[in-house]
Amino acid sequence: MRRAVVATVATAAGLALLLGYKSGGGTKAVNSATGSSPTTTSPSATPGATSPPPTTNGAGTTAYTSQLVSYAFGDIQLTVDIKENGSRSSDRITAVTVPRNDAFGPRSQMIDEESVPVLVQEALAAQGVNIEVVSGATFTSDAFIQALGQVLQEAGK
Amino acid sequence: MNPELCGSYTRSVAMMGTVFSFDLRAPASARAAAAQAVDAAVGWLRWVDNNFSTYKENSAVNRFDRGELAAGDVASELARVLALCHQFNKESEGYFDAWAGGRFDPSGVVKGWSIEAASELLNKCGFADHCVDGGGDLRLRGLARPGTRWTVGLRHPLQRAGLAAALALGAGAVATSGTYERGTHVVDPMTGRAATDLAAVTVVGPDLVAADAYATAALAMGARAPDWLCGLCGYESQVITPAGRGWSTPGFKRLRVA
Repeated sequence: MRRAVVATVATAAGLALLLGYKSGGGTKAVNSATGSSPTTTSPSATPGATSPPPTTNGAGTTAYTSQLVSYAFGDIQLTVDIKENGSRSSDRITAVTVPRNDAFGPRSQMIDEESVPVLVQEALAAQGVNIEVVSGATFTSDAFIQALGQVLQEAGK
Repeated sequence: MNPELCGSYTRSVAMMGTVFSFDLRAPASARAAAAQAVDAAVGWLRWVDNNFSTYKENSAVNRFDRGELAAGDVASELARVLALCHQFNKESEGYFDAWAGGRFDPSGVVKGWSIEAASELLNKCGFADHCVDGGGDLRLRGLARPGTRWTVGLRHPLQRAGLAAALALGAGAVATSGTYERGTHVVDPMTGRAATDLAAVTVVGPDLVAADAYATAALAMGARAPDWLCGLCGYESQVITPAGRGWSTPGFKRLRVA
């Protein structure tokens, strides 16, 4: 049953009532690409695509960018920052970002009250604001995991 | 009061496909008891994972979905989850639907419900000041330090390592839903089109099940979200668009420290 539902979603996304969820899946969600559900929508790297070359900053951190990885609703690309500490076992991932996610679609301007400031933790700490815990959406997706694996393979980790 | 006088016991555990973190505020002399309390909370969450995972063949949820458990036979915990699914389906005007994927999948309420219970368990163990973080959804109790509320950062959906707000909170829940890091496609059920109006919705209020359900429903509502969020009693919220514009309830602004 689940296989049929997911396959339907992959071919006719607009017909299904889908609701995205962060980790843990969710109601009204058909998780297009979780490892545990059999699916016809397994992500794949775009044929002929190549990864951009890694870039290194002065602080010993290298940014590796994956190829575009296709999944049911678009393409996703990741950049992983790896701080190299001399040996592979002590290298650390310091950031994972998504420079490209074509599934995002055209942007709407419906709510236009105020620009949201970006607060950086160091700046807050300087003002005496000590952040104890952070709330945010989390990433769970096979496309994400595949792109991450590809980057790490390229980085030789 | 000097924060050094008040200790903190913390632990992070991978469960339910994400990372849970516990932060109990108590004197150093209570460290062993704090570890025991967290052991109990972790045990409870693992039990929930085993019984409510849709990915585990013989979980109670899957047996219920296959008709092997009648509604009258299910354990009280599953009955409670079923009731919550019905309640929030109604409250969210149908945007929240545990049956929409073609099978029964209550994951959207299970995480918040199990974190609520874990927090209550810690409280009953004598740790009235704590924070439970389940993959970015938070349940706070008591104070961070004597006389000082918890300071909670809201991750900025568009800026790496940036926060969109910092809030000072006492007891309560914080849930954030976003399209910025998602593995699932978001479609507005009313139009059938991708719901890309909003990058993130954060809801703050007394109960994590409700906050989580409201945040996710609002994300799918898109442009309608502010009107709907304004009508929620006891819950304050902030909405951020993909262009980096924001809207928040008047009450939400009063929670901000930065």
